[in-house]
Formats: sequence, structure tokens, C-alpha cells
Amino acid sequence: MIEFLSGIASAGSLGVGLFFLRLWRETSDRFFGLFGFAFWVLALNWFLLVWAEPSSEHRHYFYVLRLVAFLLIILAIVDKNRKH
Amino acid sequence: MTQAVLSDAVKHFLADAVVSVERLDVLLFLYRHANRWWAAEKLAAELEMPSDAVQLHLEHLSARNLLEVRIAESVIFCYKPVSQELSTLVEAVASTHYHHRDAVASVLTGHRPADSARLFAEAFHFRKGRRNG
Amino acid sequence: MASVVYALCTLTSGLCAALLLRAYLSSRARLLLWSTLSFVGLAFNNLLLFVDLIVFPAIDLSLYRSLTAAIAVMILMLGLIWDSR
Repeated sequence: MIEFLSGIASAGSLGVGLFFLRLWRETSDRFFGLFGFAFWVLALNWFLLVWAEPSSEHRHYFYVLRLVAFLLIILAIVDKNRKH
Repeated sequence: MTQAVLSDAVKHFLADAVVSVERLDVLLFLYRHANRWWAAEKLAAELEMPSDAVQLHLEHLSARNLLEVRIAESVIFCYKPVSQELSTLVEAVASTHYHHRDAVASVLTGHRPADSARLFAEAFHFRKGRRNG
Repeated sequence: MASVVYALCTLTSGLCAALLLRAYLSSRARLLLWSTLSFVGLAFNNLLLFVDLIVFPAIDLSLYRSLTAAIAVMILMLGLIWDSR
């Protein structure tokens, strides 16, 4: 069940990331690009969760991925507020 | 395309704040009737547009600090940019629209992303929320 | 270190949800409602991660973690499909 749900989360964020990357191309607004990559990193995170049966000693790999994803989101927000 | 007659600031304003030809019509109408207050319904009848669309455009324009909003019997809007800069931009748009309508239209139709996607990106703009400034 | 990361992620997704809610309330665009709910879900997901791994390491919340993740992402996915035009 957990694998199934993580699979859904992974596939979903892959799709969400694609959406954002397409919006990036359409609008040439970096904001969407950063969000797109953030969701792809989250997709990777959940994809690895399906595979890796994360026992606690491997957990730090996951939180590094999550950190990268949310840093991309923070960067997107900061960038949005710096323009102008 | 004759976009060369437009300055970068005007192009950016069109693409970023005006976004669509319909919304441009709403903005220019209000600009030409400055000092008059309009409810969405009445403006819709004047412009021959659906009133829910006009309502949405009015809300967008007021979120962009171009209109003043009052609540009377219904919500009414009046053209009143908060800054001289905005006012100058709208004047430039109006005069370009008069002389080079195609140039203005081509900016709006040229790279028009999905409206709600634009709203999504704008949501992360901290200062945008101020309406009464 | 992990706790700082999870707290940061929770706060970031909470901030996103708040900004999106504010924009939804002013524009009423449905995509923003879906996005708000999705980021609330992600905030919960991060919060659960924090609770699960730091506060109560003995309790296994992984089902709830993956459940919130799946729900949050699917809401955003469907919102983008239906309402991004």
C-alpha cells in the first residue's frame, strides 16, 4: 500500500513538474522552471522510496532530496520577489 | 509585427498586467471615462461582454493597483492608478493603441500564457496583495 | 540536522499554501484553490515526517506520510489538468 501511494506521489509530481516546465517555456518565467525542477526532485524522492525500503540509516539521502526540492521552491519565491 | 513602436516598459506592462485584449478593452474604457464609477454589470452592458468576465478583469486590474474599488449597492470600480508611473504607462498604451492597434494586440496575443498559471506565479509576489495603497 | 530540514520544508509549504490562499481569495481562480489544498497536504506531509522521525521515532507513520503525499500531489496534478487554461 505504501509503495503504491509513493508510486502515485512520484508519478504525480513527475507530471506536475512537466506542467511547470511547459509553463516555463510558454512564459519564459524562471519561477515555473524552478517549481518544475523542485517537483521532479520530489518525484525522485518518492520513486526511491518505492524502491529503497528506507531503513533509518539511509534516511539522510531522502532528506537531502527533500531539502533540495524545497530550496528550489524557496529560491523561486525569493527570485519572484527580487524582480522589478 | 510592428512592436518596435512600443517601449520595453510598455510591452512588459501589457504582457504582465493587461494580459488579454479583452482586459485591455476594459482598461481603456475605464481610462477614457476616468472619474466615473462602474459596477461590473453596467460596464458589461456598455462593452457588450459577459458580466462575469468583466468582473474578473476588474478584479485583476484593481489587484494591479490600476483601479479604485468601493462598495456601494454593489462593488464599483473607477480608474485610478496608484502611481504616476502606472498612469504614464496606461497613457502610453492608450496612445499606442490609437495609432498602432496591431502592435498592442500582437504583444497581447503573442505570448499569452494560461491566465490561471500567471495567477499562480503572481500569488508568490508578497507585495501584490495590497489594494488600498 | 534532519529536524531542521523537515521544519524548513514544513514552513516553506505552509508559506506557499498561505500565499496561494491569499491569491485565491482575491482572484477566485480555481487552480489556486487546488494549489492551496495541495500545499496544505505537502505541509502535513512534511509535518508528519518531522513527527514520525524526530518526535516519535517508535511509531511508524509511513502509511500516513505516503497517503498525504499522494493526495497532495494528485490534487495539484488534477488542478493543473483541469484549470490551467
